[in-house]
Amino acid sequence: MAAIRVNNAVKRFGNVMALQHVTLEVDSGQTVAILGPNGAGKTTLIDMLVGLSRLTSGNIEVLGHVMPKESRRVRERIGLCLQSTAFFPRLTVRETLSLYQHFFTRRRSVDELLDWVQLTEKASEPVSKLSGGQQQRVALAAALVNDPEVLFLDEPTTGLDPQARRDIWDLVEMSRQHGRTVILTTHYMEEARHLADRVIILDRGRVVADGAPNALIRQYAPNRVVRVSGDHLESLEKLGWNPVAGASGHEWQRPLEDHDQSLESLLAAARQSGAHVQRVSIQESSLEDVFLHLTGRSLSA
Amino acid sequence: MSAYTALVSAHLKILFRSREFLFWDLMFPVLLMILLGSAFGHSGFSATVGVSGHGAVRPLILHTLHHIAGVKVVLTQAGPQGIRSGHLDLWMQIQHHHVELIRTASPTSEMTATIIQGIIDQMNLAMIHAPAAISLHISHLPGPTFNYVDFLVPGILAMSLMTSGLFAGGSLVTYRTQGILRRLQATPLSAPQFLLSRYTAQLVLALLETAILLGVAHVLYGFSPRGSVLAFVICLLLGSTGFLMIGFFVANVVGTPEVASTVNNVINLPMMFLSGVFYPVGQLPAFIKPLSAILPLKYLADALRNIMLASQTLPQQTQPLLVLAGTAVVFGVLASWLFKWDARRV
Repeated sequence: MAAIRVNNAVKRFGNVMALQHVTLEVDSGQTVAILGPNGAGKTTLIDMLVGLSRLTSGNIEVLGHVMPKESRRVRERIGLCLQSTAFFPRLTVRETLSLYQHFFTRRRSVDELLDWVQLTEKASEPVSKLSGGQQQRVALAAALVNDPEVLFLDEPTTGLDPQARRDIWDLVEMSRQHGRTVILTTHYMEEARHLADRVIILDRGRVVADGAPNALIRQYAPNRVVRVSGDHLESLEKLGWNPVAGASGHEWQRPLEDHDQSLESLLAAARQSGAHVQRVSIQESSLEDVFLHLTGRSLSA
Repeated sequence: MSAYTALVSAHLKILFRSREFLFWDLMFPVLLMILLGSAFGHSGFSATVGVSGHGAVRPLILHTLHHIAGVKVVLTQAGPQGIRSGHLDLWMQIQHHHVELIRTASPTSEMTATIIQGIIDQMNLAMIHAPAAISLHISHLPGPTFNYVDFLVPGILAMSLMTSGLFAGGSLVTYRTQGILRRLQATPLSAPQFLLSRYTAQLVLALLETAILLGVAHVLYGFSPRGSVLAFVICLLLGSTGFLMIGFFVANVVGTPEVASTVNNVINLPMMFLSGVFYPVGQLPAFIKPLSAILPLKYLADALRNIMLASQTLPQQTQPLLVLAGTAVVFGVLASWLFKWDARRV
């Protein structure tokens, strides 16, 4: 059964097309990462899915309900962890979760949630006194007060330090094992690859790729890359190598294709052309390369 | 517990943990009342008379002055300089059977001179044993009398209901810019449920503010409100509603807390000074009076005074109550129509 159906969704802000004819379906139980650079339309898409913003045209169904018309019925059954939102700073962690719990008919116990996000010891602290990572765990707990069928996480780890990010990942992983449908947006490909069984790449409001992370890599960036650094590398140009952008000619690279000669012979040819190669590395393709391949731009730019 | 009651209790917790709220909404009106009440609350006559010189009549004059309420006698050897510096209202020099008075143009000085003149006339008549041709008796009008504190307390109460309503609007803007409202919007909670919960909390506050202010006024100044308690409560809740709706309206037309606080001051200050909170509207210059007639605070202060001081009934307050109800309805409808959860976009 499809948890989410998006059909030909368009959202326009003035002259800006934030979403352009997006069509997709998410089965229940799937964990989907929506990957894209800032401004790709990820947050806009989430806002549409949870009924916080209206489509210009097209239609969206969540759990069989038409959005945003039936938003309130849908919100009863979904959990949200949104960007640029906050909780009342003067309420304690426990008071916050207990308040949010009262907005729903299906309620999980606050103690259980506190234990789950490891904030039992901080339960009596005001939310404003918590660190960024702890506040994000409160947000995650608040998203789960109604034991939701679908969990929406908009950039859940943006701005967190690596440890706090790992903690959030563990919590998302647990939620996923619980059988929940999870939709998360991120501009960290590592996050998408680690958490999701399906990645949707969004660029300038359009879906440019959709599939399992490894399948996408196999499809769009099957090549590994050999990268060398050293001196007198200009001679490599004739052999099909390209200078690495920003390395001022001291680093060059070329694809390592399956039908290529062995790495050994590639390097021998390089040396013969007069290049002084000092270091060699082989880079596995990533979702970053998929994005680069599809858009001609870097994801992190 | 429902979402609504959970939110009402959350609002109250948040307010009582806010120092700004505790000071501006609960303490400030009380402090202002004490300050103004102590400065201007003594409406009785008070004058200081400097007396110098000697003479046979001196002890008799001094003895009589001591019995006049409000008159304080200062014995001095110095000349009349004390009048110029403002320490004395009147200077009196006694030489044998001659009394010299030096007074200023102030009403107090004039009144004191008249009192002393009356005393000397009496003493002259008594010394020549002249029979009184005309007899005089003065008595007080029975019934309640009002002093400045009686006037001030309902005014300060009206003012505090206004400022806390506007303050509530300001906090709504902060909640919106911080994304707190957006997070609430993402739950099944509806906007009317949220606004109604904040409104309920405001009514609780209005009653609490009133209890504190009246309690302090009673202890310090012996202030006791008259009139029907029910009429009084209805009037203060209606006024509180009107000002909360103005606050909500402002909250939904401005973008940032800074702008909200500026707009609130633009509403607050003229209302405070032109609505007869601290002094009667009748003392305002004629050209300002039409302006005060359009300020809702004037109607709240008037209605509270009429009920608390003159024991008037609700039907007698129809006009001010209609103005307050109109304010509440107009701004309430505009505020819910313009209500925005999200600061980022509409």
